[in-house]
Amino acid sequence: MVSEAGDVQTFLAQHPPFNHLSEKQLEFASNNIFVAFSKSGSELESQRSDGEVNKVGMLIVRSGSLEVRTDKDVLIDRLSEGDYLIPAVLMRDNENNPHVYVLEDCLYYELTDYAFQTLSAGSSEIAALTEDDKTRLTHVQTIVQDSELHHHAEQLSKDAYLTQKVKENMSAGVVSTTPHTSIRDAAQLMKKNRVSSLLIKDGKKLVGIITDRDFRTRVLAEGVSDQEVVERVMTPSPMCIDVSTRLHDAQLKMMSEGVHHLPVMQDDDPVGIITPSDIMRANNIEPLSLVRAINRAMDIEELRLASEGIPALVVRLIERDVRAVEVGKIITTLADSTTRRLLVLSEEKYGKPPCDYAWLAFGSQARQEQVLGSDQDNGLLLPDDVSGQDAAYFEDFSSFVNDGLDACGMPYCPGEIMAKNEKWRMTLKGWKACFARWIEEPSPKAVMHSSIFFDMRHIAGKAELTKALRKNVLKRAQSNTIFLAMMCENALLHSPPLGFFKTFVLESDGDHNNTLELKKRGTIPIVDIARNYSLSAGLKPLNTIERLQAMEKAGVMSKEMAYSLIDAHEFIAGIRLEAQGKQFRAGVKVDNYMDPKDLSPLVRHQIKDAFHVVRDAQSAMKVRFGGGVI
Amino acid sequence: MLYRLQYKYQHWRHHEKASSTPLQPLYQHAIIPPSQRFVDTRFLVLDAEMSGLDPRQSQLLSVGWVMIENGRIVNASAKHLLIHADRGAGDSSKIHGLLDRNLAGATSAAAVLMLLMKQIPGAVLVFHHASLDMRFLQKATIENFRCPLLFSYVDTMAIEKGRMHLQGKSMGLRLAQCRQRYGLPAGSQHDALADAQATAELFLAQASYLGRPEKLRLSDLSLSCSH
Repeated sequence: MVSEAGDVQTFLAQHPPFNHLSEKQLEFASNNIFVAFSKSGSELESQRSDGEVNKVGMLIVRSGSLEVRTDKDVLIDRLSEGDYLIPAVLMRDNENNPHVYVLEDCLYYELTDYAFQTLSAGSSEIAALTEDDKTRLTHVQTIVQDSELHHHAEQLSKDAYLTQKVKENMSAGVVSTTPHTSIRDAAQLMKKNRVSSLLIKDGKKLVGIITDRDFRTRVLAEGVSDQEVVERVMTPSPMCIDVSTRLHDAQLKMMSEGVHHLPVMQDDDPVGIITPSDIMRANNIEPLSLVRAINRAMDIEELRLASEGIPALVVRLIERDVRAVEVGKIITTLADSTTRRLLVLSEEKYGKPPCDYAWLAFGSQARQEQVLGSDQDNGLLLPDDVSGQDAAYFEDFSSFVNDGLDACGMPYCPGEIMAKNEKWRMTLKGWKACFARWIEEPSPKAVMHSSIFFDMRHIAGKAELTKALRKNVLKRAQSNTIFLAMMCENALLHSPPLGFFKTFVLESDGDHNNTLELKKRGTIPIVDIARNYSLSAGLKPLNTIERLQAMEKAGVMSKEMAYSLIDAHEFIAGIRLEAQGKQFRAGVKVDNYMDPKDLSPLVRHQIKDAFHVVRDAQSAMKVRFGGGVI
Repeated sequence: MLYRLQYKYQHWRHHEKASSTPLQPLYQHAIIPPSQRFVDTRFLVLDAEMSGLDPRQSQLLSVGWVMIENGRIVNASAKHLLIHADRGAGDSSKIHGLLDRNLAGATSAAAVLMLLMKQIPGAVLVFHHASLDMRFLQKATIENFRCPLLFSYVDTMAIEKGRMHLQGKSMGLRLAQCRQRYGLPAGSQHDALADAQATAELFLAQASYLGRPEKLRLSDLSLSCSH
């Protein structure tokens, strides 16, 4: 006779708590196991038909997944490969008769109660499973809370504003007049229709808009006669939005453009108006009021106060199940507004700048992927003909902005990549030369810099300067294979943690013993992959998701891999965000570390899948770009 | 009905030879009715490893089996038996990992068959690709006892083929491929016992898809008779 250990014993030996058992105990366990299969959608019987004799002491999932819910359909736990449940403990800890449902076709092991009791007597690890353990209970409770929260969030997201379109929330119907109407008549028309804005149409064509505010600022304050034609004071060719746009995008547009009334168009015809209050009514979240507070702040202290509302806003967004990429965009929009406001305040303090400039954001702000507490990375771009004296002006000017951002929750960059640092205030020529150096003579340090600086976005000032720089850099990078290979090498330094048997490779430094840094291990590799491919194909988008989409369209990455990466990126970012929201509510410092123990088995499983996707994409990237290094 | 006829025929043809041999209990046991419920049936899931595919030139090298009772695989019932052969394992040892020196310490085919026959009465055998394993088993039994085995069996490959046919699909029918369709884990071992266990798991999965376990009957599983 040969080994009859078989699959069951091998499996047990690799999974806690059985991995603590002796060979003999394992054999005993394995001999008292019955293997069963249930298809997805079915419910496991709580009692076996053959009664007490083969009563189940412990159930271990071999493949597939199970879900435990109470009578009231509240989720208690989810189990996947290697997870187990102990029916007696489940019944004891949950008054409302728990039910076990099969989520995915499930092969599972039933260890008899008799064997379970015997093993408990001989192993403290097994005995501990039935103890009335406080931590385990809290674990269960957290899951319950989570699931309730999730349930709650799902309810909310049904009417969530992200799925809503402009059409359902705009003020339908438009009040319009001709360009030659007098200002007084226009005002009366608005009063009669009780609207705060009026569209100006020339025939069928929309040519302008006038709002309550315009009457104050452009008519009364300027002393313009109310007999003048409205054409003189309207905003000509106003920004519009299509009727099918998502409400959220309308909101972002208002925020970024600083307008409060957007005419809604259907096939070139205005059909309504959307305003910030429409949006607030729809979503009950007030990023716009925050932006307004930021835009009105008269000094750094007021800005700081306004920015204090950002974490709470983010938590609300998370609770409403807003996608991580959208949350990133909202946080970034707020950071952009704060930066722009600080620039205005700085101009007020130090006088009008002596020449043009462009304020650049790098890194996550450039990619619109900021999270709470993201460092600031920025620089200043000056025209080539700037004089030494003029350039000196920008030292205090930039310091003021950097200090302000730090006060408003965007800490100084530890690598000093900030405009207050003279090194990162350069002329167009200087920046071009700098990028050229990094690209032509890539050194490890240059490559590290590149991964930050190549994500570059114009924030304020003269946009032409930024455009010229970006165009130059994109072209240069695209054609240099050695540089791309070095970038690829650098990207491969961050590998996702895929240990054997669902053990994560955990960070072990200082305060973060046995935690997982999702940013370094999950997010950065995807961001790097997206950047490398985009640079190689000269693609313009900065946002990682948009980059991946563009890569797929341009044919530089397969559709399957691009979408897998998008899903993985979304998923990891979502987990990060949720963890950060929890940290914020718990009042602890918000960081990127998390304890895998805090995750439900199913989420752990999904994270592993996400990491697999990243690993595959990294291998593919290595094949594609690795050839440059010889 | 074909099942009953075949069973009667096989019984009529061989029962005299079987008397006063170890095969007698098999021929004395009543036929297992197709109306018997799945959960009330004891299944003996079997896999054999051979030195080749042709029964005239090759022979049994090992047999592995595991029992299913109450719709559950009884892990303690797992058996893995090596058969010592006249010739070495030859090429197939590369696949099964059965080295000649392992076989040297093995039991005789007769002893293995005796053990197997003790399990058969009252049980329904389960194979993946029954015809191949059955041909080798019958040849070895006839060589040793001058009479073939008599048993009822189901074939997981035939069940899967039927399922594919109903769904209008044609997909791979190898054990690993079938298992994959039910989300069953891929096994690393490849020997008679591991394959018997893998077949047993596949059988449970197929049964759960064929109907509610308490309603499922043997006739739903295309019960057949040995030949």
